[in-house]
Amino acid sequence: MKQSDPERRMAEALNRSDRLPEGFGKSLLNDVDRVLGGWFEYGAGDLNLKITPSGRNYYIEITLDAARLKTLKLL
Amino acid sequence: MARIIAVVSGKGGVGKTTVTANLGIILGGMGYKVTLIDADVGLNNLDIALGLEDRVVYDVFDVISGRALPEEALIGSQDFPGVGLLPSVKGSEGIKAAAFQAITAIYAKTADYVLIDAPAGVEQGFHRAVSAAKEVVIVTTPHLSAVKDADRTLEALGVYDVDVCGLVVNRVIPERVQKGEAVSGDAIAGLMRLKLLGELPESDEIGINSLSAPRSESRKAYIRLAEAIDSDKEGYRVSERKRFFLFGRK
Ligand SMILES: Nc1ncnc2c1ncn2[C@@H]1O[C@H](COP(=O)(O)OP(=O)(O)O)[C@@H](O)[C@H]1O
Ligand SMILES: [Mg+2]
Repeated sequence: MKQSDPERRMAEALNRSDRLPEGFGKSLLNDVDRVLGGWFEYGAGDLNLKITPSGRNYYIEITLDAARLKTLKLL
Repeated sequence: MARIIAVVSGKGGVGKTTVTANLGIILGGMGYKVTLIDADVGLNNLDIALGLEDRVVYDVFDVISGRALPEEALIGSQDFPGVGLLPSVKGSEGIKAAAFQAITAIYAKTADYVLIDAPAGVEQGFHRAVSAAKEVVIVTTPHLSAVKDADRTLEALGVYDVDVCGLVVNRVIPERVQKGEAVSGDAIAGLMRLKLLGELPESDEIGINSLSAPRSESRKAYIRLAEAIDSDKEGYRVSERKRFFLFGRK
Protein backbone atom coordinates (compact mmCIF):
# COMPACT_ATOMS: atom_id res chain seq x y z
CA MET A 1 0.00 0.00 0.00
CA LYS A 2 1.28 3.41 -0.94
CA GLN A 3 2.05 5.55 2.08
CA SER A 4 0.45 8.97 2.18
CA ASP A 5 2.87 11.88 2.38
CA PRO A 6 2.35 12.69 6.06
CA GLU A 7 2.77 9.02 6.80
CA ARG A 8 6.05 8.81 4.88
CA ARG A 9 7.34 11.91 6.68
CA MET A 10 6.45 10.30 9.98
CA ALA A 11 8.15 7.03 9.05
CA GLU A 12 11.31 8.95 8.15
CA ALA A 13 11.19 10.92 11.39
CA LEU A 14 11.01 7.69 13.36
CA ASN A 15 13.99 6.13 11.65
CA ARG A 16 15.67 4.12 14.35
CA SER A 17 19.03 3.53 12.67
CA ASP A 18 20.91 5.82 15.08
CA ARG A 19 20.12 3.62 18.05
CA LEU A 20 22.52 1.39 19.91
CA PRO A 21 23.15 -1.94 18.22
CA GLU A 22 21.75 -5.10 19.80
CA GLY A 23 24.22 -6.82 22.06
CA PHE A 24 25.87 -3.59 23.16
CA GLY A 25 25.18 -4.33 26.81
CA LYS A 26 26.56 -7.82 26.56
CA SER A 27 29.94 -6.76 25.19
CA LEU A 28 30.13 -4.15 27.94
CA LEU A 29 29.48 -6.88 30.48
CA ASN A 30 32.16 -9.08 29.00
CA ASP A 31 34.61 -6.26 29.51
CA VAL A 32 33.46 -5.79 33.07
CA ASP A 33 33.82 -9.50 33.72
CA ARG A 34 37.29 -9.60 32.22
CA VAL A 35 38.48 -6.69 34.34
CA LEU A 36 36.76 -7.45 37.62
CA GLY A 37 35.75 -11.09 37.56
CA GLY A 38 33.35 -10.50 40.42
CA TRP A 39 30.50 -8.31 41.44
CA PHE A 40 30.68 -4.74 40.47
CA GLU A 41 28.89 -1.62 41.58
CA TYR A 42 28.98 1.65 39.78
CA GLY A 43 27.41 4.89 40.82
CA ALA A 44 27.32 8.31 39.24
CA GLY A 45 25.13 10.75 41.09
CA ASP A 46 21.77 9.11 41.54
CA LEU A 47 22.40 6.42 38.95
CA ASN A 48 23.56 3.11 40.34
CA LEU A 49 24.52 -0.05 38.54
CA LYS A 50 25.12 -3.23 40.46
CA ILE A 51 26.29 -6.37 38.72
CA THR A 52 26.20 -9.66 40.61
CA PRO A 53 27.42 -12.93 39.13
CA SER A 54 25.27 -15.95 39.86
CA GLY A 55 26.60 -19.20 38.48
CA ARG A 56 27.18 -18.51 34.82
CA ASN A 57 24.65 -15.67 34.78
CA TYR A 58 24.78 -12.07 35.82
CA TYR A 59 22.16 -9.97 37.44
CA ILE A 60 22.37 -6.27 36.74
CA GLU A 61 20.28 -4.01 38.90
CA ILE A 62 19.95 -0.44 37.76
CA THR A 63 18.57 2.13 40.15
CA LEU A 64 18.06 5.84 39.72
CA ASP A 65 17.32 8.11 42.64
CA ALA A 66 17.18 4.90 44.75
CA ALA A 67 14.18 3.60 42.77
CA ARG A 68 14.65 0.46 40.77
CA LEU A 69 14.68 0.95 37.03
CA LYS A 70 15.28 -2.57 35.92
CA THR A 71 16.88 -5.86 36.81
CA LEU A 72 18.45 -7.60 33.87
CA LYS A 73 19.58 -11.18 33.73
CA LEU A 74 22.40 -11.87 31.34
CA LEU A 75 23.27 -15.41 30.40
CA MET B 1 -3.33 -6.17 43.80
CA ALA B 2 -4.00 -3.39 41.32
CA ARG B 3 -2.74 -2.92 37.82
CA ILE B 4 -0.49 0.14 38.08
CA ILE B 5 -0.53 2.05 34.81
CA ALA B 6 1.37 5.27 34.08
CA VAL B 7 -0.06 7.50 31.35
CA VAL B 8 2.87 9.07 29.52
CA SER B 9 3.42 11.01 26.30
CA GLY B 10 6.67 12.86 25.79
CA LYS B 11 5.07 16.04 24.51
CA GLY B 12 2.89 18.14 26.79
CA GLY B 13 -0.70 19.05 26.03
CA VAL B 14 -1.56 15.90 24.07
CA GLY B 15 -4.18 14.69 26.56
CA LYS B 16 -2.51 12.62 29.29
CA THR B 17 -4.48 14.26 32.08
CA THR B 18 -7.75 14.11 30.15
CA VAL B 19 -7.19 10.43 29.33
CA THR B 20 -6.23 9.56 32.92
CA ALA B 21 -9.34 11.28 34.31
CA ASN B 22 -11.83 9.90 31.78
CA LEU B 23 -10.39 6.39 31.77
CA GLY B 24 -10.54 6.39 35.57
CA ILE B 25 -14.19 7.43 35.54
CA ILE B 26 -15.16 4.73 33.04
CA LEU B 27 -13.23 2.00 34.91
CA GLY B 28 -14.86 3.16 38.16
CA GLY B 29 -18.25 2.95 36.44
CA MET B 30 -17.45 -0.63 35.41
CA GLY B 31 -17.27 -1.48 39.12
CA TYR B 32 -13.54 -1.27 39.70
CA LYS B 33 -11.87 0.55 42.55
CA VAL B 34 -9.66 3.11 40.84
CA THR B 35 -7.00 5.33 42.39
CA LEU B 36 -5.78 8.24 40.30
CA ILE B 37 -2.41 9.69 41.26
CA ASP B 38 -1.33 13.06 39.94
CA ALA B 39 2.40 12.74 39.33
CA ASP B 40 2.67 15.89 37.27
CA VAL B 41 3.97 17.87 40.19
CA GLY B 42 4.95 20.78 38.01
CA LEU B 43 1.62 21.25 36.23
CA ASN B 44 -0.77 19.35 38.44
CA ASN B 45 -4.28 19.54 37.03
CA LEU B 46 -5.82 16.12 37.41
CA ASP B 47 -8.01 17.65 40.14
CA ILE B 48 -9.18 20.31 37.68
CA ALA B 49 -9.85 17.77 34.93
CA LEU B 50 -12.16 16.01 37.40
CA GLY B 51 -13.69 19.24 38.68
CA LEU B 52 -12.49 18.41 42.19
CA GLU B 53 -10.01 21.26 42.70
CA ASP B 54 -12.09 22.83 45.50
CA ARG B 55 -12.02 19.58 47.43
CA VAL B 56 -8.25 19.27 47.70
CA VAL B 57 -7.09 18.96 51.30
CA TYR B 58 -4.14 16.58 51.25
CA ASP B 59 -1.68 15.80 48.51
CA VAL B 60 1.06 13.33 47.60
CA PHE B 61 3.49 15.10 49.87
CA ASP B 62 1.23 14.80 52.93
CA VAL B 63 1.00 11.04 52.41
CA ILE B 64 4.75 10.62 51.97
CA SER B 65 5.51 12.69 55.04
CA GLY B 66 2.91 10.86 57.11
CA ARG B 67 0.67 13.88 57.70
CA ALA B 68 -2.23 12.02 56.11
CA LEU B 69 -3.11 8.34 55.87
CA PRO B 70 -3.19 7.02 52.29
CA GLU B 71 -6.98 6.43 52.29
CA GLU B 72 -7.67 9.72 54.07
CA ALA B 73 -5.87 11.70 51.38
CA LEU B 74 -8.03 10.37 48.53
CA ILE B 75 -10.76 12.64 47.20
CA GLY B 76 -13.92 10.87 46.12
CA SER B 77 -17.09 12.11 44.47
CA GLN B 78 -20.61 10.71 44.15
CA ASP B 79 -20.40 11.58 40.46
CA PHE B 80 -17.51 9.18 39.95
CA PRO B 81 -18.24 5.96 41.83
CA GLY B 82 -15.18 3.89 42.65
CA VAL B 83 -12.73 6.68 41.87
CA GLY B 84 -10.35 8.25 44.40
CA LEU B 85 -7.90 11.02 43.53
CA LEU B 86 -4.57 11.70 45.14
CA PRO B 87 -3.70 15.24 44.07
CA SER B 88 -0.23 16.66 43.76
CA VAL B 89 0.92 20.12 44.72
CA LYS B 90 3.08 22.65 43.01
CA GLY B 91 6.46 22.69 44.65
CA SER B 92 6.59 18.99 45.46
CA GLU B 93 9.25 18.39 42.79
CA GLY B 94 11.62 17.25 45.51
CA ILE B 95 9.73 14.00 46.11
CA LYS B 96 12.08 11.08 45.72
CA ALA B 97 11.18 8.43 43.19
CA ALA B 98 11.64 5.74 45.84
CA ALA B 99 9.09 7.45 48.13
CA PHE B 100 6.62 7.80 45.28
CA GLN B 101 7.11 4.13 44.41
CA ALA B 102 6.42 3.17 48.01
CA ILE B 103 3.12 5.07 48.35
CA THR B 104 1.95 3.83 44.96
CA ALA B 105 2.52 0.28 46.18
CA ILE B 106 0.35 1.01 49.22
CA TYR B 107 -2.52 2.25 47.06
CA ALA B 108 -2.13 -0.76 44.76
CA LYS B 109 -2.93 -3.10 47.65
CA THR B 110 -6.50 -1.86 48.00
CA ALA B 111 -7.41 -0.92 44.41
CA ASP B 112 -8.07 -2.65 41.09
CA TYR B 113 -6.46 0.09 39.04
CA VAL B 114 -3.91 2.74 39.95
CA LEU B 115 -3.54 5.25 37.13
CA ILE B 116 -0.60 7.66 37.31
CA ASP B 117 -0.83 10.91 35.38
CA ALA B 118 2.79 11.50 34.35
CA PRO B 119 4.40 14.79 33.40
CA ALA B 120 5.66 15.54 29.89
CA GLY B 121 9.27 14.85 29.00
CA VAL B 122 11.55 12.02 30.12
CA GLU B 123 13.20 13.73 33.06
CA GLN B 124 12.95 13.31 36.82
CA GLY B 125 9.16 13.53 37.04
CA PHE B 126 8.82 10.92 34.31
CA HIS B 127 11.20 8.65 36.19
CA ARG B 128 9.19 9.10 39.36
CA ALA B 129 5.93 8.16 37.61
CA VAL B 130 7.24 5.27 35.52
CA SER B 131 9.42 3.64 38.17
CA ALA B 132 6.29 3.33 40.32
CA ALA B 133 4.27 1.69 37.51
CA LYS B 134 4.07 -1.84 36.16
CA GLU B 135 2.50 -0.86 32.86
CA VAL B 136 2.45 2.18 30.62
CA VAL B 137 -0.05 3.68 28.20
CA ILE B 138 1.43 6.13 25.70
CA VAL B 139 -0.74 9.02 24.53
CA THR B 140 -0.06 11.05 21.40
CA THR B 141 -1.92 13.20 18.91
CA PRO B 142 -1.53 12.53 15.16
CA HIS B 143 0.90 15.44 14.85
CA LEU B 144 4.45 14.66 13.76
CA SER B 145 6.09 16.46 16.70
CA ALA B 146 3.92 14.61 19.22
CA VAL B 147 4.57 11.23 17.59
CA LYS B 148 8.31 11.88 17.51
CA ASP B 149 8.28 12.68 21.22
CA ALA B 150 6.13 9.63 21.94
CA ASP B 151 8.65 7.50 20.10
CA ARG B 152 11.50 8.98 22.10
CA THR B 153 9.52 8.20 25.24
CA LEU B 154 9.04 4.63 24.08
CA GLU B 155 12.80 4.37 23.71
CA ALA B 156 13.33 5.78 27.23
CA LEU B 157 10.90 3.16 28.57
CA GLY B 158 13.30 0.45 27.45
CA VAL B 159 15.29 0.77 30.67
CA TYR B 160 12.27 0.19 32.93
CA ASP B 161 10.59 -3.03 34.03
CA VAL B 162 7.25 -2.01 32.56
CA ASP B 163 4.95 -3.47 29.93
CA VAL B 164 3.80 -1.04 27.30
CA CYS B 165 0.05 -1.74 26.99
CA GLY B 166 -0.14 0.29 23.81
CA LEU B 167 -0.84 3.60 22.17
CA VAL B 168 -3.77 6.01 22.44
CA VAL B 169 -4.07 8.47 19.57
CA ASN B 170 -6.06 11.47 20.78
CA ARG B 171 -7.68 14.31 18.84
CA VAL B 172 -8.23 12.34 15.64
CA ILE B 173 -10.22 14.07 12.89
CA PRO B 174 -11.40 11.33 10.50
CA GLU B 175 -12.02 13.71 7.59
CA ARG B 176 -8.37 14.75 7.67
CA VAL B 177 -7.22 11.14 7.65
CA GLN B 178 -9.50 10.36 4.70
CA LYS B 179 -8.10 13.25 2.71
CA GLY B 180 -4.56 12.03 3.39
CA GLU B 181 -3.75 15.17 5.39
CA ALA B 182 -3.30 13.33 8.67
CA VAL B 183 -1.97 9.93 9.69
CA SER B 184 -4.38 7.38 11.15
CA GLY B 185 -3.98 5.85 14.59
CA ASP B 186 -3.39 2.46 13.00
CA ALA B 187 -0.56 3.81 10.86
CA ILE B 188 1.07 5.58 13.83
CA ALA B 189 0.82 2.48 16.01
CA GLY B 190 2.27 0.47 13.13
CA LEU B 191 5.25 2.79 12.78
CA MET B 192 5.89 2.65 16.52
CA ARG B 193 5.28 -1.13 16.57
CA LEU B 194 2.71 -0.73 19.32
CA LYS B 195 -0.78 -2.05 19.82
CA LEU B 196 -3.39 0.62 19.12
CA LEU B 197 -5.55 0.83 22.24
CA GLY B 198 -7.81 3.25 20.45
CA GLU B 199 -8.34 6.55 18.74
CA LEU B 200 -10.14 9.35 20.56
CA PRO B 201 -12.01 11.96 18.55
CA GLU B 202 -11.24 15.66 18.47
CA SER B 203 -14.09 17.09 20.50
CA ASP B 204 -15.42 20.50 21.50
CA GLU B 205 -16.93 19.08 24.63
CA ILE B 206 -13.82 17.47 26.01
CA GLY B 207 -13.19 16.84 29.64
CA ILE B 208 -15.60 15.02 31.88
CA ASN B 209 -18.57 16.82 30.32
CA SER B 210 -18.19 14.72 27.21
CA LEU B 211 -18.70 11.59 29.30
CA SER B 212 -21.98 12.67 30.86
CA ALA B 213 -23.74 12.77 27.49
CA PRO B 214 -24.61 9.08 27.06
CA ARG B 215 -24.57 9.17 23.25
CA SER B 216 -21.45 11.26 22.79
CA GLU B 217 -18.75 9.81 20.61
CA SER B 218 -16.09 10.60 23.21
CA ARG B 219 -17.94 8.53 25.75
CA LYS B 220 -18.17 5.59 23.37
CA ALA B 221 -14.47 5.92 22.52
CA TYR B 222 -13.50 5.99 26.19
CA ILE B 223 -15.61 2.95 27.01
CA ARG B 224 -13.86 1.07 24.22
CA LEU B 225 -10.49 2.30 25.47
CA ALA B 226 -11.30 1.00 28.94
CA GLU B 227 -12.34 -2.35 27.45
CA ALA B 228 -9.18 -2.52 25.34
CA ILE B 229 -7.08 -2.03 28.47
CA ASP B 230 -9.23 -4.15 30.77
CA SER B 231 -10.00 -7.12 28.52
CA ASP B 232 -7.79 -6.73 25.46
CA LYS B 233 -10.71 -5.86 23.18
CA GLU B 234 -10.16 -4.19 19.82
CA GLY B 235 -9.59 -0.44 20.19
CA TYR B 236 -12.00 2.20 18.91
CA ARG B 237 -11.42 3.83 15.51
CA VAL B 238 -12.93 7.24 14.95
CA SER B 239 -13.80 6.27 11.37
CA GLU B 240 -16.21 3.64 12.73
CA ARG B 241 -18.69 6.43 13.29
CA LYS B 242 -18.72 7.21 9.57
CA ARG B 243 -19.18 3.58 8.66
CA PHE B 244 -22.12 3.31 11.00
CA PHE B 245 -23.87 6.14 9.21
CA LEU B 246 -23.06 4.68 5.81
CA PHE B 247 -24.68 1.33 6.52
CA GLY B 248 -27.52 2.84 8.49
CA ARG B 249 -27.37 2.60 12.22
CA LYS B 250 -29.85 0.41 14.14
N1 LIG C 1 -9.92 14.95 22.20
C1 LIG C 1 -9.75 16.25 22.49
N2 LIG C 1 -10.38 17.21 21.77
C2 LIG C 1 -10.21 18.51 22.06
N3 LIG C 1 -9.43 18.98 23.06
C3 LIG C 1 -8.77 18.08 23.82
C4 LIG C 1 -8.90 16.68 23.59
N4 LIG C 1 -8.13 16.03 24.52
C5 LIG C 1 -7.55 16.98 25.29
N5 LIG C 1 -7.94 18.22 24.89
C6 LIG C 1 -7.54 19.51 25.50
O1 LIG C 1 -6.15 19.69 25.32
C7 LIG C 1 -5.59 20.35 26.46
C8 LIG C 1 -4.43 19.56 27.02
O2 LIG C 1 -4.93 18.33 27.54
P1 LIG C 1 -4.28 17.64 28.82
O3 LIG C 1 -5.06 16.42 29.09
O4 LIG C 1 -4.14 18.61 29.94
O5 LIG C 1 -2.84 17.29 28.24
P2 LIG C 1 -1.51 16.81 29.01
O6 LIG C 1 -1.93 16.27 30.33
O7 LIG C 1 -0.94 15.78 28.09
O8 LIG C 1 -0.64 18.01 29.11
C9 LIG C 1 -6.71 20.55 27.47
O9 LIG C 1 -7.21 21.84 27.36
C10 LIG C 1 -7.74 19.52 27.01
O10 LIG C 1 -9.04 19.93 27.36
MG1 LIG D 1 -1.22 16.83 32.24
